Amino acid sequence: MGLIAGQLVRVKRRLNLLAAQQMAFSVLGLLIGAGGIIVIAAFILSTTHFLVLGLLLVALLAVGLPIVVVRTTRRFAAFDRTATIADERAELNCRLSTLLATESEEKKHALWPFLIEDTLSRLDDFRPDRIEKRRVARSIYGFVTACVIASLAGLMTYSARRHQEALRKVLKSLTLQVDPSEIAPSDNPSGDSAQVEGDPDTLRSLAERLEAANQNSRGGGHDTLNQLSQKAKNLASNLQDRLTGRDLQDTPEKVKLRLAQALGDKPPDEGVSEGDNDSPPKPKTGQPQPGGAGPGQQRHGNKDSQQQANNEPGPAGSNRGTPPSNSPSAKSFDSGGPEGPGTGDSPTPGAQPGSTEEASGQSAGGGSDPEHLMGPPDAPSHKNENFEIMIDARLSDRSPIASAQPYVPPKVKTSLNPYQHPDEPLDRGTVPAADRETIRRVFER
Amino acid sequence: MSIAASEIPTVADFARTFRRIQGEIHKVIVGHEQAVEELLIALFAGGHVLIEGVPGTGKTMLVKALGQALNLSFSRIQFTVDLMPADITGTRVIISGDDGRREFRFSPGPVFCHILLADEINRATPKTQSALLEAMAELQVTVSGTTYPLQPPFFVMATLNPIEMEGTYPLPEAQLDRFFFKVRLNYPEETELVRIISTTTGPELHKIEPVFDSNDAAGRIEALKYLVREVIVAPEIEQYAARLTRATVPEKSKFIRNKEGLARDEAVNRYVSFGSSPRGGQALMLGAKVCALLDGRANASHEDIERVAYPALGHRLTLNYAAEADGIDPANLVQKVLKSVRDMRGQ
Repeated sequence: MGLIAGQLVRVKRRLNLLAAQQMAFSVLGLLIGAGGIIVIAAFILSTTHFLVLGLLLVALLAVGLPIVVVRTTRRFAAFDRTATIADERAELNCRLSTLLATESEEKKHALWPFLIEDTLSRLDDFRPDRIEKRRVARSIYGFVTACVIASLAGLMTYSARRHQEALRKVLKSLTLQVDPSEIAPSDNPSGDSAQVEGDPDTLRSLAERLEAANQNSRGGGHDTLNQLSQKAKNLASNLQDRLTGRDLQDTPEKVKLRLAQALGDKPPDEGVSEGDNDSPPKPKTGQPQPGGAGPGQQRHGNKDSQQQANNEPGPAGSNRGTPPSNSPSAKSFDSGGPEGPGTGDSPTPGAQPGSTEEASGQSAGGGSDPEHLMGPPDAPSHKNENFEIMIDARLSDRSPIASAQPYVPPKVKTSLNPYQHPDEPLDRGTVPAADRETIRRVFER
Repeated sequence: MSIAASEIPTVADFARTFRRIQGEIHKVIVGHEQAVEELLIALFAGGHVLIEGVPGTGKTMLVKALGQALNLSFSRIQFTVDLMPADITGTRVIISGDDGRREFRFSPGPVFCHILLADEINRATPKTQSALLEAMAELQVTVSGTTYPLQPPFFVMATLNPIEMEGTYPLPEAQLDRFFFKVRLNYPEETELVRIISTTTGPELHKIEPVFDSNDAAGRIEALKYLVREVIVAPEIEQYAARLTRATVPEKSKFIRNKEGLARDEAVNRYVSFGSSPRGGQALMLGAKVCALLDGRANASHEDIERVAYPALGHRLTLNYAAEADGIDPANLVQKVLKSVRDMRGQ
């Protein structure tokens, strides 16, 4: 009986080892696989899809993990269950379980010795390696698959991080010079990496608008579900950014939103951002290049309010300190005819705040004559609240790379009809208050 | 009955003897292997058998062959409508002594034998049929207030003709329950029929050799029956037999208190009026023990229980009219019960 019991102990040990492996592999496989899928999804899915997938995975884990744990726990075999398993797998017809069950009986059956001898003669049939041939649980396949997924995710993360590191080396700082009229409440910068500069009036105006927007959002917050879904989306987006390395939380770069003066009397003269001096020399926006800057960099024909969405630090930033009207690029842009203002991707009208003497011929950005056909420009009637433009600025490596050629819009000159009377520049009027909301909605869309 | 340890046969002896008896019977019985095996299982388990089959399928021949192979006393009663209980048990008759005095003496009936063939038992009246009850259950008969024991082994084989039901008296459930197994003899297959024709119409008839001496046949058989009861059964197997027996009871039965562990098969609830009695469980276990010995084991297993499930439980299910209308066979129901209990075991 001792021999039989010893063999059973070995069988039990083997079965339980396998059960432990199965539990470990299953649980780890589920967790690692889910994590890997989340990371990969952060790269390839949109925020909404990422959110849905994340919720699905969380639900799957919440249901699947307890099931796996319970199932694998059941696989752990006690002594009697080991005997039953051995009986079944070695086709012993309940010999072992009968032995175990009746061993403790005081009065032994007449056939008890026969049962022991019979079982002993089959000792070889229930060797541990015959009862359980596997040394490693099958769930290792799932675990390995999960590891492969996780490795893939790790590779993607690593390459993304490297990419970001390379970008950071190039982009020490980013200064966006934006017109305050283009700043909408949704552009409220948050975090340490964004900084808004501007004259007190503009900042106060922006603060008022933000406050009004907040009040609107609070007042209009009847739909709790929408708010919740928006919050969830924000969370998912943050997680996605963090996983893909797109977050700038801990990056040294600073994004400066420099607000032009409300009335556009003078251009900002402190166009150098903090990291400018450390930056390597880059192609200057002030260099006499046709077009001056790419469409994403020079959004308006107006010199004063010209938005220098310039990712180039260093000398380029220094040049921005000079009035843009002096730069050949600005001139060439001005002389771009109908295409000139069109290169800017903003629908903002040509009339923008700027210095009076430097804005000549350019306030009518929509004009067809680059040679001041429109006559003297209007006195800039800056209307801060004419438009609100959503800005979604994100670090990009397209243009600031030294070797990259900026996009040069083609020059198109169209000869005028000789019978055409020169266009009279129209006075810019204020947008009627009744239409402001409509216009705002149109441009927000 | 106590048997000395030295007289207890071994497991191998049991299997060898069983196979030898089986072989002798098959000298004259062609086919019906399963029926013969079930017959012998019931014999060594100490039960009685009800044999059902159409005329001419070898019911009487089978019983005769068994008697010859075992070399035990054998009686045959042809049950008819006018058969009286005393015709079975015996009666007191007036006998003149040597001194001229007359006295009542008990004249044993045909029931006083080792193997009794009750041919077409359903043709006798219930009163006569019930005369067998005491003999089958308690191995004794009582005549005129006096009880006479029967000599073991006592083995009743009753045949039942399923056709010509007019003027017959179907066995009541109580009497059916006293039969250990119900064995069905089907029509022989073509090859078997060819062999039957060739062996029974030739000049040479096979003769059965007795397996035991006539002197110790009864003792040998009793020793083998004792060995059967010594087979070791794990509690798990006993529970399996009990669960199987209870699974034949429909949930709607008013004779059941705790419905836990009852059959979950809908067919049982729909077609069964009354399930198996505890005698069914006993038959399962004893039959399983014989099967274990036949397999050379000293312990019973689940497979042994399942092997005897149909002959042990099939005739103990009382089917309702819906089953009759739908042509439900008890064998199918037993299979469903087996499946449901197997599923429970798997859980």
